[in-house]
Amino acid sequence: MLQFNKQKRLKHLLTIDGLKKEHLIEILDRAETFFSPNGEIIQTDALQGKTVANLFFEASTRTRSTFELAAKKLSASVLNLDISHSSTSKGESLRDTVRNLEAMQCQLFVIRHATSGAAHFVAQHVNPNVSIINAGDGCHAHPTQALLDMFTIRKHRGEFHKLNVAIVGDILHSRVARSQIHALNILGVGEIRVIGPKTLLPSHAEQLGVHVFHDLRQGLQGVDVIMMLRLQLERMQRALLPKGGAYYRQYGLTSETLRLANKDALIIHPGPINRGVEIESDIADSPNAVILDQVTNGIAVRMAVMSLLVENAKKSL
Amino acid sequence: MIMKIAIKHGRVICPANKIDTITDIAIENGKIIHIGKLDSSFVADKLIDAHNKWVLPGLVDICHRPQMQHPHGTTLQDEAVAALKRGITSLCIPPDGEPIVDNTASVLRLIKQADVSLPHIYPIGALTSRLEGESIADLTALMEAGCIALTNAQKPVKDLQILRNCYEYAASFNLPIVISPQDNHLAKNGVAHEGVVATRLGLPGIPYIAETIAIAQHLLLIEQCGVRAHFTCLSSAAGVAQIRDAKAKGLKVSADTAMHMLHLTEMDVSTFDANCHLYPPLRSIRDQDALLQGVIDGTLDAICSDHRPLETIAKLAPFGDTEPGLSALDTYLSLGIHLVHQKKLELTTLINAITHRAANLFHLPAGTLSVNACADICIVDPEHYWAVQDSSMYSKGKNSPFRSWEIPGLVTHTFLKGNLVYEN
Repeated sequence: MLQFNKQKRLKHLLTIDGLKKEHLIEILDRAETFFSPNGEIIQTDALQGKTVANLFFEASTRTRSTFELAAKKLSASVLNLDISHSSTSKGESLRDTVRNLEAMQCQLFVIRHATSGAAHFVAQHVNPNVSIINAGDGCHAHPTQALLDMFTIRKHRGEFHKLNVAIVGDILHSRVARSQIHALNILGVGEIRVIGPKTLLPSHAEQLGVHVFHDLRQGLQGVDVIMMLRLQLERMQRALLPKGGAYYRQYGLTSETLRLANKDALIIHPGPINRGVEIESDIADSPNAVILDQVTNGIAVRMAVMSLLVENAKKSL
Repeated sequence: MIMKIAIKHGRVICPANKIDTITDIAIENGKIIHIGKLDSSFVADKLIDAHNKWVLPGLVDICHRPQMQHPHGTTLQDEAVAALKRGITSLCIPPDGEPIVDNTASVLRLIKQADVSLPHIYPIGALTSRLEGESIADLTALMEAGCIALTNAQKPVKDLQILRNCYEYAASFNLPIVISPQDNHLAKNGVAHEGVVATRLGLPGIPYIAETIAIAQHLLLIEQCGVRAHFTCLSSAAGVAQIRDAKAKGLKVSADTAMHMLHLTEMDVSTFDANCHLYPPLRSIRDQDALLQGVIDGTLDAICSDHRPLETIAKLAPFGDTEPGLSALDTYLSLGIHLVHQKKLELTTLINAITHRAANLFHLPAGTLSVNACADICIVDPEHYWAVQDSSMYSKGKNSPFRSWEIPGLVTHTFLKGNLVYEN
């Protein structure tokens, strides 16, 4: 598999699909070590002398900032490249961009791109000593998001195997959901549910290892963790949903619908939240919601991934 | 110079004439003059020993694009010569190349490039001007200039009123139509079959109903207009079923699938291999089984190559950003032989699907080994396995999803009009 080196250690992080439980646990455990006893992210020199290049073909402040922060906490140098997504010669510009960066001798690329498979493509065209982290490719994968979500769940709930988890929203277009589903399956949770209208669910969804619900109220019963997806409002233009308040009425997480889940159900959201669209404003600020905690955890998890990949690269020389 | 050629001791296979036996063929003056044991009375200028080889009619590929898309353009010569090296002696070319073949001048331009050293060229003309689906092209002029059928290729005519007019007009003169069935709205932005792999990989999907809804519309119009129609490059089980039902009802329709469809499925897309980015897309195993069954029971009359050679850069991007299409001429016959060796397809059915039955769809004078017929012959060693690699492919397009496959069947000799145009 493309993600592994000859020693069967992780060489790139492109997708959760294909990783084993021990790979995920290793990253979660490593992320723990980057917290001081009082909950602050520590500074280390694990990546001293290394350069991390952020290659974001899709605009993102949140993810890019946490990657940048993570790299700096590891004492790496950071190069930020915001490339506007050109409509012509996409492949040419992507491949040439990567080659130019290799010439600048960056050890690690963090890539976000609008096309599924972009991170795989880059990984196939870089030098053997370069590591790639997928920060989101099309609708395919967002592995570090899933990892920080798992970290957050573990932190608040401990063991995975008894948990029932529901993912609510636009799963069809969500790379976050796909990565979360893989991670939850690998970690062996109790049950994974996806909840949404048919227009926002992919075909053959059950074959990902989930139960499909179209009714939020039914789907939330007995659930311990609710993972909300951001409703991308621009989808409505393609006639996937009625306009107006229909989505909120049927799938919005409100104090009323939250009550159907288990007591103290955890609320997770990758951000940014659309208050009044997928989640009631007060619920987003309630103790159940650990959205801000996710952001902090994201820094530690990304530090863990970066330091692990660089370490594996060193060991393979 | 009258070349007298003897091909001896080969297994001569011609389903059209029900021949499958070890025997000889005599060629003189560009034609086959005898099929049967040759004695000393026939003095050949050249003797070919076809011991342990199959002697087949030259292959007839009914969907083949022998030009690379290139900013500077390419001539037919560059690419079509590769087809001969793989035993393909007749090419049916869709009109959606550069320039679009929608008028007499462009037909003639294509035919003029034909050469004694190139396969027979049979252009398929455009159904509408510039393939834009707005006005009927001069269909009878196109046929008179040398086209064998008309099609709107992969650009469906959106306005059904216009499509109906095209069919009625064509039916007036009994002109055959070729249809690439796809509803553009349902297929919009899709890059892979809407199924378990696309779901896993987050690839925008093309549901099989994009094909079947189009087939249904066309069948209803075909029935009403009385036009002869051929559906090309089918990809779905449901599509095959529709054709089967239509034939049972007595409609004059025919259909084909592409050779690669019988070997690849959506599973091959799992690694984001851009060479598997194809249109129509590779569908499920169930669809593949039905396509094969369709060939076996005759619902699908022919197997084409769907050859579309592309420059390397066209496939050098993330999956969905690449151009769809595969370079298919090198693997066309070999993949068919592979199916025969695997006992998935009978030899007679295979050869029929890539020669006689294919040619018959458009009444082409090709696809048989017959006395007095043009000597278009392909001699192949069916036990010679070769590895598909850039270096072993004759096509200038290296976009093959079969790279590193080792497949049986190496063409050793190709005859075109009695001339030995290729020898390995």
